[in-house]
Amino acid sequence: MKEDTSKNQIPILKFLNKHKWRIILPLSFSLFYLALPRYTKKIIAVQQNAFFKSSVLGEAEMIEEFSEIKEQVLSDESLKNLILKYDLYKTEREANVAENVLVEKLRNSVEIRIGNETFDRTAFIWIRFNKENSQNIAALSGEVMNQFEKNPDIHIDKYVSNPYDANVYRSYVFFGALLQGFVMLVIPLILLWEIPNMFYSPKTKEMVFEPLKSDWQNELTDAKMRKQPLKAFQINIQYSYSFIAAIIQKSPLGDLVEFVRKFAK
Amino acid sequence: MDNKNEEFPKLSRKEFSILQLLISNGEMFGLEMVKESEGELKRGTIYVTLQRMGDKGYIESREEPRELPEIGIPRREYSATGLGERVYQTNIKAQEFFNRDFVLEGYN
Repeated sequence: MKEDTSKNQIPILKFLNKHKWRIILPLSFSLFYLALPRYTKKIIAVQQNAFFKSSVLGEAEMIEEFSEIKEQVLSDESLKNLILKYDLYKTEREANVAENVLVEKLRNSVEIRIGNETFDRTAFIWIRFNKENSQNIAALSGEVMNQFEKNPDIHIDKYVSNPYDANVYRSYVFFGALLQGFVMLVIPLILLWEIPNMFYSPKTKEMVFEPLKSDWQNELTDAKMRKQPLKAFQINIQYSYSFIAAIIQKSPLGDLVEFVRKFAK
Repeated sequence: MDNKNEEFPKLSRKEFSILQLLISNGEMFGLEMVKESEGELKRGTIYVTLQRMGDKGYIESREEPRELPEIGIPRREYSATGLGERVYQTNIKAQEFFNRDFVLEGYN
Protein backbone atom coordinates (compact mmCIF):
# COMPACT_ATOMS: atom_id res chain seq x y z
CA MET A 1 0.00 0.00 0.00
CA LYS A 2 2.81 2.34 0.90
CA GLU A 3 4.45 1.77 -2.49
CA ASP A 4 1.23 2.69 -4.25
CA THR A 5 1.04 6.00 -2.36
CA SER A 6 4.62 6.97 -3.26
CA LYS A 7 4.01 6.09 -6.92
CA ASN A 8 1.04 8.44 -7.04
CA GLN A 9 2.99 11.39 -5.61
CA ILE A 10 4.11 14.13 -7.99
CA PRO A 11 7.93 14.13 -8.51
CA ILE A 12 8.76 17.13 -6.33
CA LEU A 13 6.77 15.79 -3.36
CA LYS A 14 8.32 12.36 -3.83
CA PHE A 15 11.76 13.97 -3.79
CA LEU A 16 10.99 16.03 -0.67
CA ASN A 17 9.57 13.04 1.12
CA LYS A 18 12.54 10.87 0.24
CA HIS A 19 15.19 13.40 1.27
CA LYS A 20 13.39 15.26 4.04
CA TRP A 21 16.04 14.62 6.71
CA ARG A 22 18.87 15.55 4.40
CA ILE A 23 17.21 18.91 3.95
CA ILE A 24 15.79 19.46 7.44
CA LEU A 25 19.04 18.70 9.29
CA PRO A 26 21.38 21.13 7.49
CA LEU A 27 18.67 23.80 7.52
CA SER A 28 18.17 23.35 11.27
CA PHE A 29 21.91 23.62 11.85
CA SER A 30 22.01 26.76 9.73
CA LEU A 31 19.13 28.33 11.64
CA PHE A 32 20.81 27.40 14.92
CA TYR A 33 24.01 29.05 13.68
CA LEU A 34 22.16 32.20 12.68
CA ALA A 35 20.46 32.32 16.08
CA LEU A 36 23.80 32.21 17.93
CA PRO A 37 24.71 35.48 19.67
CA ARG A 38 27.15 37.58 17.67
CA TYR A 39 29.73 39.82 19.21
CA THR A 40 31.65 42.79 18.03
CA LYS A 41 35.11 42.69 19.46
CA LYS A 42 37.81 45.31 19.22
CA ILE A 43 41.40 44.59 20.04
CA ILE A 44 44.16 47.12 20.50
CA ALA A 45 47.70 45.93 20.96
CA VAL A 46 50.30 48.19 22.55
CA GLN A 47 54.02 47.63 22.88
CA GLN A 48 54.80 46.89 26.48
CA ASN A 49 58.16 48.64 26.65
CA ALA A 50 56.52 51.75 25.27
CA PHE A 51 53.48 51.21 27.43
CA PHE A 52 55.30 51.72 30.71
CA LYS A 53 57.35 54.82 31.24
CA SER A 54 59.90 53.01 33.31
CA SER A 55 61.50 50.14 31.40
CA VAL A 56 63.45 48.97 34.41
CA LEU A 57 60.36 47.75 36.28
CA GLY A 58 60.37 44.12 37.30
CA GLU A 59 57.60 41.83 36.06
CA ALA A 60 55.69 41.88 39.37
CA GLU A 61 55.86 45.68 39.55
CA MET A 62 54.73 46.00 35.95
CA ILE A 63 51.69 43.83 36.57
CA GLU A 64 50.85 45.83 39.72
CA GLU A 65 51.14 49.13 37.90
CA PHE A 66 49.08 47.82 35.01
CA SER A 67 46.34 46.68 37.43
CA GLU A 68 46.19 50.11 39.05
CA ILE A 69 45.74 51.85 35.70
CA LYS A 70 43.16 49.31 34.71
CA GLU A 71 41.16 50.06 37.86
CA GLN A 72 41.18 53.76 37.07
CA VAL A 73 40.02 53.14 33.47
CA LEU A 74 37.28 50.80 34.60
CA SER A 75 36.10 52.96 37.48
CA ASP A 76 32.37 53.70 37.78
CA GLU A 77 32.89 57.35 36.96
CA SER A 78 34.97 56.66 33.86
CA LEU A 79 32.51 54.08 32.52
CA LYS A 80 29.49 56.33 33.18
CA ASN A 81 31.13 59.04 31.07
CA LEU A 82 31.76 56.60 28.26
CA ILE A 83 28.14 55.41 28.27
CA LEU A 84 26.87 58.96 27.96
CA LYS A 85 29.48 60.13 25.47
CA TYR A 86 28.90 57.25 23.05
CA ASP A 87 25.20 56.87 23.71
CA LEU A 88 25.66 53.21 24.66
CA TYR A 89 22.82 50.90 25.81
CA LYS A 90 20.24 53.32 24.47
CA THR A 91 17.36 50.84 24.64
CA GLU A 92 18.17 49.93 28.24
CA ARG A 93 18.49 53.58 29.27
CA GLU A 94 15.14 54.38 27.66
CA ALA A 95 13.68 51.48 29.62
CA ASN A 96 15.06 53.11 32.81
CA VAL A 97 17.53 50.37 33.63
CA ALA A 98 19.60 51.39 36.67
CA GLU A 99 22.88 53.19 35.84
CA ASN A 100 24.99 50.89 37.99
CA VAL A 101 23.64 47.88 36.05
CA LEU A 102 24.77 49.45 32.77
CA VAL A 103 28.15 50.36 34.23
CA GLU A 104 28.60 46.76 35.31
CA LYS A 105 27.55 45.57 31.88
CA LEU A 106 30.12 47.78 30.20
CA ARG A 107 32.79 46.71 32.66
CA ASN A 108 32.10 43.08 31.77
CA SER A 109 32.44 43.92 28.10
CA VAL A 110 35.86 45.48 28.43
CA GLU A 111 38.75 43.20 29.09
CA ILE A 112 42.21 44.67 29.51
CA ARG A 113 45.17 42.42 30.00
CA ILE A 114 48.90 42.17 29.54
CA GLY A 115 49.83 39.68 26.84
CA ASN A 116 51.35 36.40 27.90
CA GLU A 117 54.88 35.35 26.99
CA THR A 118 53.83 34.47 23.47
CA PHE A 119 52.93 38.12 22.96
CA ASP A 120 55.91 39.47 24.80
CA ARG A 121 55.96 43.22 25.35
CA THR A 122 52.39 43.64 24.24
CA ALA A 123 49.29 44.68 26.13
CA PHE A 124 45.79 44.06 24.86
CA ILE A 125 42.51 45.78 25.35
CA TRP A 126 39.55 43.66 24.38
CA ILE A 127 36.13 45.22 24.08
CA ARG A 128 33.18 43.00 23.36
CA PHE A 129 29.60 44.00 22.69
CA ASN A 130 26.37 42.40 21.69
CA LYS A 131 24.73 43.96 18.64
CA GLU A 132 26.70 47.19 18.93
CA ASN A 133 27.67 49.50 16.13
CA SER A 134 31.27 48.73 15.14
CA GLN A 135 32.13 52.44 14.66
CA ASN A 136 31.03 53.00 18.23
CA ILE A 137 33.28 50.21 19.36
CA ALA A 138 36.24 51.68 17.46
CA ALA A 139 35.67 55.07 19.10
CA LEU A 140 35.25 53.48 22.49
CA SER A 141 38.46 51.48 22.11
CA GLY A 142 40.29 54.67 21.25
CA GLU A 143 38.77 56.37 24.29
CA VAL A 144 39.90 53.61 26.63
CA MET A 145 43.36 53.85 25.09
CA ASN A 146 43.38 57.62 25.61
CA GLN A 147 42.55 57.13 29.26
CA PHE A 148 45.61 54.94 29.56
CA GLU A 149 47.63 57.61 27.84
CA LYS A 150 46.42 60.30 30.25
CA ASN A 151 47.95 58.43 33.13
CA PRO A 152 51.26 60.12 34.09
CA ASP A 153 52.95 56.72 34.45
CA ILE A 154 52.25 55.76 30.88
CA HIS A 155 53.97 56.74 27.71
CA ILE A 156 52.64 55.34 24.45
CA ASP A 157 54.86 55.74 21.41
CA LYS A 158 52.90 53.73 18.90
CA TYR A 159 50.29 51.11 18.39
CA VAL A 160 51.68 47.77 17.39
CA SER A 161 48.62 46.98 15.35
CA ASN A 162 45.68 48.96 14.13
CA PRO A 163 42.49 48.23 15.98
CA TYR A 164 40.56 45.59 14.11
CA ASP A 165 37.11 44.09 14.25
CA ALA A 166 36.37 40.51 14.97
CA ASN A 167 32.69 40.70 14.22
CA VAL A 168 31.94 37.17 15.24
CA TYR A 169 33.74 35.01 17.72
CA ARG A 170 36.34 32.90 16.00
CA SER A 171 34.85 29.64 17.23
CA TYR A 172 31.48 30.67 15.87
CA VAL A 173 33.06 31.47 12.54
CA PHE A 174 34.65 28.05 12.44
CA PHE A 175 31.41 26.34 13.44
CA GLY A 176 29.49 28.39 10.91
CA ALA A 177 31.97 27.66 8.13
CA LEU A 178 31.65 23.94 8.81
CA LEU A 179 27.88 24.13 8.67
CA GLN A 180 27.82 26.26 5.56
CA GLY A 181 30.23 23.86 3.89
CA PHE A 182 27.97 20.98 4.87
CA VAL A 183 24.92 22.77 3.50
CA MET A 184 26.71 23.78 0.30
CA LEU A 185 28.06 20.31 -0.38
CA VAL A 186 25.20 18.06 0.67
CA ILE A 187 22.08 19.89 -0.46
CA PRO A 188 23.19 20.84 -3.97
CA LEU A 189 24.49 17.34 -4.67
CA ILE A 190 21.14 15.80 -3.80
CA LEU A 191 19.25 18.47 -5.68
CA LEU A 192 21.48 18.09 -8.72
CA TRP A 193 20.56 14.45 -9.20
CA GLU A 194 16.89 15.26 -8.84
CA ILE A 195 16.70 18.32 -11.12
CA PRO A 196 16.47 16.27 -14.35
CA ASN A 197 13.59 14.25 -12.85
CA MET A 198 11.65 17.43 -12.22
CA PHE A 199 12.27 19.51 -15.32
CA TYR A 200 13.43 17.39 -18.25
CA SER A 201 11.76 14.95 -20.62
CA PRO A 202 12.26 11.18 -20.21
CA LYS A 203 14.24 11.15 -23.47
CA THR A 204 16.69 13.84 -22.25
CA LYS A 205 17.04 12.04 -18.93
CA GLU A 206 17.80 8.79 -20.73
CA MET A 207 20.20 10.23 -23.30
CA VAL A 208 22.00 12.96 -21.29
CA PHE A 209 21.66 12.66 -17.54
CA GLU A 210 21.57 8.90 -17.01
CA PRO A 211 24.86 8.31 -18.93
CA LEU A 212 26.46 11.18 -16.98
CA LYS A 213 25.30 9.71 -13.67
CA SER A 214 26.56 6.33 -14.81
CA ASP A 215 30.06 7.71 -15.56
CA TRP A 216 30.03 9.57 -12.22
CA GLN A 217 29.09 6.39 -10.39
CA ASN A 218 31.70 4.29 -12.21
CA GLU A 219 34.57 6.70 -11.68
CA LEU A 220 33.62 7.24 -8.04
CA THR A 221 33.35 3.50 -7.33
CA ASP A 222 36.69 2.97 -9.01
CA ALA A 223 38.38 5.66 -6.86
CA LYS A 224 36.81 4.26 -3.70
CA MET A 225 37.88 0.71 -4.52
CA ARG A 226 41.43 1.97 -5.01
CA LYS A 227 41.12 3.74 -1.64
CA GLN A 228 41.80 7.18 -3.10
CA PRO A 229 39.57 9.52 -1.06
CA LEU A 230 41.09 12.67 -2.56
CA LYS A 231 40.49 11.40 -6.08
CA ALA A 232 36.89 10.54 -5.09
CA PHE A 233 36.42 14.07 -3.76
CA GLN A 234 37.88 15.53 -6.96
CA ILE A 235 35.51 13.35 -9.05
CA ASN A 236 32.50 14.58 -7.06
CA ILE A 237 33.48 18.20 -7.64
CA GLN A 238 34.28 17.64 -11.33
CA TYR A 239 31.00 15.83 -12.04
CA SER A 240 28.98 18.37 -10.06
CA TYR A 241 30.20 21.03 -12.49
CA SER A 242 29.64 18.70 -15.48
CA PHE A 243 26.11 18.04 -14.31
CA ILE A 244 25.42 21.75 -13.93
CA ALA A 245 26.91 22.35 -17.41
CA ALA A 246 24.58 19.71 -18.88
CA ILE A 247 21.57 21.19 -17.05
CA ILE A 248 22.35 24.64 -18.45
CA GLN A 249 22.94 23.31 -21.97
CA LYS A 250 19.60 21.54 -21.96
CA SER A 251 17.75 24.55 -20.50
CA PRO A 252 15.92 27.15 -22.63
CA LEU A 253 19.02 29.35 -22.19
CA GLY A 254 21.21 26.61 -23.66
CA ASP A 255 18.79 26.19 -26.58
CA LEU A 256 18.91 29.93 -27.21
CA VAL A 257 22.72 29.93 -27.23
CA GLU A 258 22.69 26.98 -29.66
CA PHE A 259 20.18 28.76 -31.91
CA VAL A 260 22.26 31.96 -31.94
CA ARG A 261 25.40 29.96 -32.69
CA LYS A 262 23.69 28.22 -35.64
CA PHE A 263 22.27 31.51 -36.87
CA ALA A 264 25.69 33.17 -36.67
CA LYS A 265 27.20 30.38 -38.79
CA MET B 1 11.34 9.53 -51.37
CA ASP B 2 13.85 12.22 -52.11
CA ASN B 3 16.86 11.76 -49.86
CA LYS B 4 18.72 14.79 -51.17
CA ASN B 5 19.58 17.31 -48.48
CA GLU B 6 19.67 20.87 -49.73
CA GLU B 7 21.69 22.15 -46.81
CA PHE B 8 25.35 21.12 -46.52
CA PRO B 9 25.70 19.06 -43.31
CA LYS B 10 28.52 21.01 -41.72
CA LEU B 11 29.88 19.42 -38.54
CA SER B 12 30.92 21.38 -35.46
CA ARG B 13 34.38 20.67 -34.00
CA LYS B 14 32.89 18.47 -31.30
CA GLU B 15 30.70 16.56 -33.71
CA PHE B 16 33.66 16.04 -36.01
CA SER B 17 35.83 14.71 -33.15
CA ILE B 18 33.08 12.34 -32.00
CA LEU B 19 32.53 10.91 -35.48
CA GLN B 20 36.28 10.60 -36.00
CA LEU B 21 36.61 8.59 -32.78
CA LEU B 22 33.60 6.38 -33.49
CA ILE B 23 34.67 5.65 -37.07
CA SER B 24 38.23 4.76 -36.07
CA ASN B 25 37.41 2.79 -32.88
CA GLY B 26 33.93 1.37 -33.47
CA GLU B 27 31.53 1.33 -30.51
CA MET B 28 32.57 3.54 -27.60
CA PHE B 29 31.24 4.79 -24.28
CA GLY B 30 30.92 8.55 -23.65
CA LEU B 31 33.63 8.57 -21.01
CA GLU B 32 36.00 6.68 -23.32
CA MET B 33 35.53 9.36 -25.95
CA VAL B 34 36.23 12.11 -23.40
CA LYS B 35 39.48 10.41 -22.38
CA GLU B 36 40.54 9.62 -25.97
CA SER B 37 39.86 13.16 -27.19
CA GLU B 38 42.56 14.59 -24.88
CA GLY B 39 40.59 17.64 -23.75
CA GLU B 40 38.59 18.30 -26.93
CA LEU B 41 35.44 16.76 -25.42
CA LYS B 42 34.21 17.50 -21.90
CA ARG B 43 32.20 15.37 -19.51
CA GLY B 44 29.54 18.04 -19.07
CA THR B 45 28.85 18.66 -22.75
CA ILE B 46 29.49 15.39 -24.54
CA TYR B 47 26.10 13.79 -23.82
CA VAL B 48 24.20 16.88 -24.95
CA THR B 49 26.20 16.84 -28.21
CA LEU B 50 25.64 13.08 -28.56
CA GLN B 51 21.89 13.54 -28.10
CA ARG B 52 21.80 16.26 -30.78
CA MET B 53 23.84 14.05 -33.13
CA GLY B 54 21.44 11.18 -32.45
CA ASP B 55 18.51 13.44 -33.37
CA LYS B 56 20.25 14.32 -36.64
CA GLY B 57 20.81 10.62 -37.32
CA TYR B 58 24.63 10.75 -37.30
CA ILE B 59 25.02 8.28 -34.43
CA GLU B 60 23.04 5.59 -32.66
CA SER B 61 23.28 4.22 -29.14
CA ARG B 62 22.20 1.35 -26.96
CA GLU B 63 22.48 0.43 -23.31
CA GLU B 64 25.48 -1.76 -22.59
CA PRO B 65 24.44 -5.41 -22.54
CA ARG B 66 24.56 -6.97 -19.07
CA GLU B 67 24.48 -10.70 -18.47
CA LEU B 68 24.02 -10.59 -14.71
CA PRO B 69 22.05 -8.10 -12.70
CA GLU B 70 24.57 -5.41 -11.73
CA ILE B 71 24.32 -2.51 -9.33
CA GLY B 72 24.35 0.98 -10.80
CA ILE B 73 23.11 2.79 -13.86
CA PRO B 74 23.95 1.06 -17.17
CA ARG B 75 26.25 2.94 -19.56
CA ARG B 76 25.41 3.71 -23.19
CA GLU B 77 27.50 2.58 -26.15
CA TYR B 78 27.61 4.81 -29.20
CA SER B 79 28.39 4.06 -32.82
CA ALA B 80 28.35 6.05 -36.07
CA THR B 81 25.47 5.44 -38.49
CA GLY B 82 25.87 5.19 -42.28
CA LEU B 83 24.67 8.78 -42.57
CA GLY B 84 27.16 9.86 -39.91
CA GLU B 85 30.05 8.23 -41.82
CA ARG B 86 28.95 9.90 -45.08
CA VAL B 87 28.67 13.31 -43.42
CA TYR B 88 32.11 12.84 -41.84
CA GLN B 89 33.72 11.86 -45.18
CA THR B 90 31.97 14.77 -46.92
CA ASN B 91 33.31 17.22 -44.34
CA ILE B 92 36.86 15.84 -44.77
CA LYS B 93 36.57 16.16 -48.56
CA ALA B 94 35.18 19.69 -48.25
CA GLN B 95 38.07 20.62 -45.99
CA GLU B 96 40.61 19.11 -48.42
CA PHE B 97 38.97 20.94 -51.33
CA PHE B 98 38.98 24.21 -49.40
CA ASN B 99 42.67 23.82 -48.42
CA ARG B 100 43.68 22.88 -52.00
CA ASP B 101 41.97 25.98 -53.40
CA PHE B 102 43.76 28.07 -50.83
CA VAL B 103 47.12 26.66 -51.96
CA LEU B 104 46.23 27.18 -55.65
CA GLU B 105 45.22 30.76 -55.02
CA GLY B 106 48.43 31.43 -53.15
CA TYR B 107 46.90 32.02 -49.68
CA ASN B 108 48.94 29.29 -47.96
